Formats: sequence, structure tokens, C-alpha cells
Amino acid sequence: MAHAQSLERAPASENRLPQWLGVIALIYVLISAVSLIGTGFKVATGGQARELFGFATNPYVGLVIGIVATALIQSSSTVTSLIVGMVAGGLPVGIAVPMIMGSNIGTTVTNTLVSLGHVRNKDEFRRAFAAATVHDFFNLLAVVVFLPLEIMFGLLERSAAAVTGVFVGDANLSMSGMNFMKTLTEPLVGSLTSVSRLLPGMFAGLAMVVIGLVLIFAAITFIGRLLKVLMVGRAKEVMHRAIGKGPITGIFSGTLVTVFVQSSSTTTSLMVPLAGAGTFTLRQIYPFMLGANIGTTITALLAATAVGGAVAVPAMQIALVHSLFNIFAVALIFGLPFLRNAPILGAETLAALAADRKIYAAAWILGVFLVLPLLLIAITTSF
Amino acid sequence: MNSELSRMSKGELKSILDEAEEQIAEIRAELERRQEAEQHEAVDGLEFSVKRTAVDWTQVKTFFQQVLAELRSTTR
Repeated sequence: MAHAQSLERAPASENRLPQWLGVIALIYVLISAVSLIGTGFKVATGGQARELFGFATNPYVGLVIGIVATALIQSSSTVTSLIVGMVAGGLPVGIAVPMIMGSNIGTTVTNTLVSLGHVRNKDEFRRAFAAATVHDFFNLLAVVVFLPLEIMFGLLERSAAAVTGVFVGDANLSMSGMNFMKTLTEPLVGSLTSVSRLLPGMFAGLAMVVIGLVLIFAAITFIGRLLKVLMVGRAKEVMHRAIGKGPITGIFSGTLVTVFVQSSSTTTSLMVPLAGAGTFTLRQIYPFMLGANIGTTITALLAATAVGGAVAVPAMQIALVHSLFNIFAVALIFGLPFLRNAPILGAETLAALAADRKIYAAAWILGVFLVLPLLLIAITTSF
Repeated sequence: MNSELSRMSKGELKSILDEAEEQIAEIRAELERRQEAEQHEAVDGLEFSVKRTAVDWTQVKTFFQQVLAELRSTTR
């Protein structure tokens, strides 16, 4: 496996101030970008988001959008932050929920591709591929369980609404007194909005969305880089403490490390080579992967803080959907003994096949991240 | 061995069994300790790459080339 550039040694604490200021500045850019996307989306859709996104009321279409967008960008944080912005701009929460679920599946493509680097050694590849695909299997199972529940009962949307109500309050109340974030982000958002409005009509809105997306992507990328340097010691400390402890500690460890480095792809990809080498078993890696799922939802929550006014409620609601989906999935699937082992069984079976014949690995990757999305669209639009 | 065991008293057999179980437990604990030590070492050696993605596209390309080679050898 190629050795990527690394900055293992964190700078001495007295030198960290510039990096921390950089993180704060980038967070400012992130939340401003989300706010910009909200404004831009509203302008681009002319307030008709529900009608324009009518095609996505089919939850499978929303699921596919989430899978494909995240697999291409390789960042669930970017996609979920974008979704938060779009909800702030008028996209109904109900349409966004399956996109969030799809994003969970799409993000697993990274560690699956990382595992391919171990293909030269059969046993190593079997272990690495199993460690990567246990994440795939878990996320697929989570969607199989929770998407129908969402379609039938709106479980996640309602749960998130209840929690949002506690934190954000009644949407009918004037939010002007609590619009601290809006005031804070106004200088940057205002400037970019003015520039975008040089374009006519909906193109101004589209420009805002595109600029916002680029800024989110850049902010998340550079936040991740800085935090990897700043937090590497803390992250390793957390991982050391989890060694020899049970799965619950593993889940918390995965959550914390992912919060520290702001990227589930990073944390899960780190574990794949360790599994490949046989240093950690699949059962030891598994809880860590689940924790990463939960930890990565912090970004969307952060993005939602950018949104002020009445749309603060749906924005926070969709961010909470992301968190609750992953928390509920872990609690249910990992909590129930007969479900807990299903992802492990799937991963071990597939990995054993793939170790003997690589076509199975290729079929899995192309199947989950390409064929399945196309098939879902084809089936659901045919009926 | 069986004839030796059959000559031993129940107390002696139990004592041997207890000793064996104790030894097994000690070996398991030692293996666990060594595995944890390896894990701690592996965590210390982790490289948190500042690259945006950990994917090495050269290796992905190599993998799919191997898949194609495998398919061709199967169809021949």
C-alpha cells in the first residue's frame, strides 16, 4: 500500500494556535457556505423546491442521489452539509431523509477501495476486504430496516422533530433575537450573494449553490487536514484506551476519533490495513466502524447551526435525522444478537469468495455503488 | 497414558485437571497480552494522512486489471 504523506508528529502546543485559528476560520467558512446554499437554493427554485424536487418524493430516488453523490465526492460530511443547506432553502425534510440514508451507504466506498490495495496477499486481502465490507453490510442493513419504517411511519423525521423542538423551539417565534449565526455569517454570505446576483434570475441562485458547495468541500477538506495534525495524539490516545475493552468502548472510540478528525472515511480507512495485517480481528474493528458512523454526523449538526430564522427548525431537524438514523441503527442492529452478527457473516462470506476470485469483489463494488442505484431507479420508475 | 490415568485417584486426576486449566488460562492471558501489545504498537504507528482520501487509485486500477485478467483466463 502506498505510503501517503503523513504528519504524525503534532506540533508543540505553543505552535498550535495558528492551526486552531485556521480551524475556526474554516468552520466560519463552512457555516457561511451552508447559509449561502440555503439562500441560493431558495432563489434557484423560486420557492418551488417541493414541486421541482417532486421526482425525489420517490424515496428510492432520494436514496440513490445520496449514494451516488457521496460515493463520487467521497465525503458524507460534504453531502450532508449540502443537504442541510438545501433544506434551509426549502427542500422538504421528507424528501431529504432518504438522501441522508443514501449518504451513509455511499461513504463506505472509500474504505472498500482502500482494501483493494491488499490484493497481492490472499489472506491479507480477505481480512482487509471483510473489514471494509462489514461497514457496507451494516449500512445496507440499516437502510433495509429503517427506510421502510421511515416511509410508513416517518420514524426519523418525527423523532428528529421532537428533539429539534427541545433545542430550537417554536418555529413561529421570531428568531431575530437568536440570529447570532446569521449576523456572524452575513459579511461573507452577503459578499458572495452580491457577486452571484450579477447573474440573472435563477442563475444567481445556482451560482450561490455551486459556490457554497465548493466552499463546503474545501472547508471540510482543510478542516480535516488541520485536525488530523492537531488531534492525532488525542485520537491515538482514545484508540489506545479502547484496546482490550469491549465493543461499547469500541463504538465510543470510533465516534470520538471521527469527531476529532471530522471524517468517517479517514477513521474507517485507517482500520482496514490493521485488519488486513491481522492485528485487529473483524469483531474488534466492527464496533469502531459503527462509532465512525455516529461521529461523522457532527458536521451536519455544525452546518445546521448556520441556519437562522424559521428554517432553522427543518435544517436542524435533517441534521438530527442523520445522527438519529445512525444511533438507532447501531442500537438496533448491534443491540439485537441475531442482527448483530449479520454484517459480520455477510462480510466474511463475501471476503472468502473474493479472496479466491477477485471478480466477486469487483461485482460487489460495482453492484452496490453503481448497479443497485440504477436498478432502484429503473424499478421504481417503471411502476 | 490411559492405564496411568486409570491408576490415579480422583483427587490426583482433579489436581492434574486444575493445573492444566490454570496453565491454559495463563497461556490465553499471555496470548491476549501479546496481541494487545501488538495492537498498541500498531496504533502508535498509524499514519493520519493529510490526503483528502486514503484511496490509492493506482492500486484500484491494478486491481481491476487483475479482475480482467482473471476473467480472460476463465473464459479461455
